[in-house]
Amino acid sequence: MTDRFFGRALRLHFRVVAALVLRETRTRFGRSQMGYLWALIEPTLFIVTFVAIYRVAGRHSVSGLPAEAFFMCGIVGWFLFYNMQAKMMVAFSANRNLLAYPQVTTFDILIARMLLESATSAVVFVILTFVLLLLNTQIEIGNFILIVYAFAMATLLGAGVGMILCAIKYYSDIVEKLATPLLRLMYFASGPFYSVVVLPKPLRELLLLNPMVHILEIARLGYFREYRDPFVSMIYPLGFALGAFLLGLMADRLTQSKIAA
Amino acid sequence: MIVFRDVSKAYRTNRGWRVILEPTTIELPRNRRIGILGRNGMGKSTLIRLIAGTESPSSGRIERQVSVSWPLGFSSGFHGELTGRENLRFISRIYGADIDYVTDYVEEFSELGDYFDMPVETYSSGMSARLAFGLSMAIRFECYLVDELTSVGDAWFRDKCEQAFAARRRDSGLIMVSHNAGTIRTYCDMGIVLRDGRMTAYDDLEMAIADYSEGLKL
Repeated sequence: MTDRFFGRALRLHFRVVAALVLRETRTRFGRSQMGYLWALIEPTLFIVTFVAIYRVAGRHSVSGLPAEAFFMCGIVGWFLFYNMQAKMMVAFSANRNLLAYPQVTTFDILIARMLLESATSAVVFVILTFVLLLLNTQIEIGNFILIVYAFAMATLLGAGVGMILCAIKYYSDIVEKLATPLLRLMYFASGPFYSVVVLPKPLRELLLLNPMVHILEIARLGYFREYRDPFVSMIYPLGFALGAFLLGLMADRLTQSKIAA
Repeated sequence: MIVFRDVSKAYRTNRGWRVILEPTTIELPRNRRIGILGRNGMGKSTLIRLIAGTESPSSGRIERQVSVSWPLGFSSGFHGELTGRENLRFISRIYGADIDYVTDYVEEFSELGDYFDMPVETYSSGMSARLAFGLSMAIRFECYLVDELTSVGDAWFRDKCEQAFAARRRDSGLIMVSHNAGTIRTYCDMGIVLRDGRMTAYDDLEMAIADYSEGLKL
């Protein structure tokens, strides 16, 4: 009896999440084919810009790794986190009308968003890897699992931060003004285009408090077989991401019930 | 059957709490056509949204043993950037309905023509209402909810809606809220009066209407 009940509930969630992903695919990428391309073009523009700057400075490698592959790894990882938080910040208000259908829950919306954003990043990551290989970049993938681990944490952290910001936004509009500069600061402090290994100790220790530094380094450890980083922690960013995610869920529950009451 | 178990609903307004429903336990029987009578401002629309599951009760719980529609003609569940067709596909998916059947039925019924493949945000309110009405008819529910019967489109289209809705009423239950006893008398065979946060059920519709009219005189 309970088994059947759970089976049915699970199938309903699955059906709703699948329907949401298909629908969000439409709205996430817009109506034109350009929408899909933009998901690819945006990180590519960043990578090309950094590579160009490095070439002008006469450099071809970062921390002993091919510059374009180094940037690709960091920037795709960063965009996954950034897009995830940006989408979650507005996801519930943008989809409020969906809650009119009682079988759609905020949790379904959250899961659908996370699946869509991480799948998009994974596709972009694979395509850009093939482009790099075609350009004769030396890439020797070390540990595929580590890349997946890093991407999963970036998704989780992005979702958590987005939900927390969304909840704070409910109390004060200042979030929207502050979030953009703070996230820009975080971008530079996350090392998408440098490694903390080369930094002086005090600065490095400060930056290592930022979970995104660890997440991007873990992605690189997985992507480059030869790469070493003695300072990275495998557990710290996971704890941080899970904490942010749970806090975000709670904050969301709290504000949702306020709106409903 | 839909069962209210100690369900209450209150809103916080600028002037303090406003009670729509005191804790109520009531059974709404299956396959009856239930008319809920209430004056404006008594919370009829809130009540129908509670039954639909669009809103959660402040306390207690509502058990639905039948599939319940959204309030008929309800069109704010559409996504403006998606076309009529895409919206239908999405809603068919979450209800587990046959996508091809629903699409064909609504395309024919709503008479939107080329607009069927245009984003819903370009629709007039009449067009979205037609889409929503067609959708409510295409997906079979065991119980239909109606929040005041609002007329959609021209006389000819209203006729068509009336016919489709009459066919559905034959084998589904109906719960309708209205302030108009005449409307309730046309569609329903059982009555509930909603007054001051209390629901009083009458098996005999005329008794419900008598009680409601009594209340109007006071």
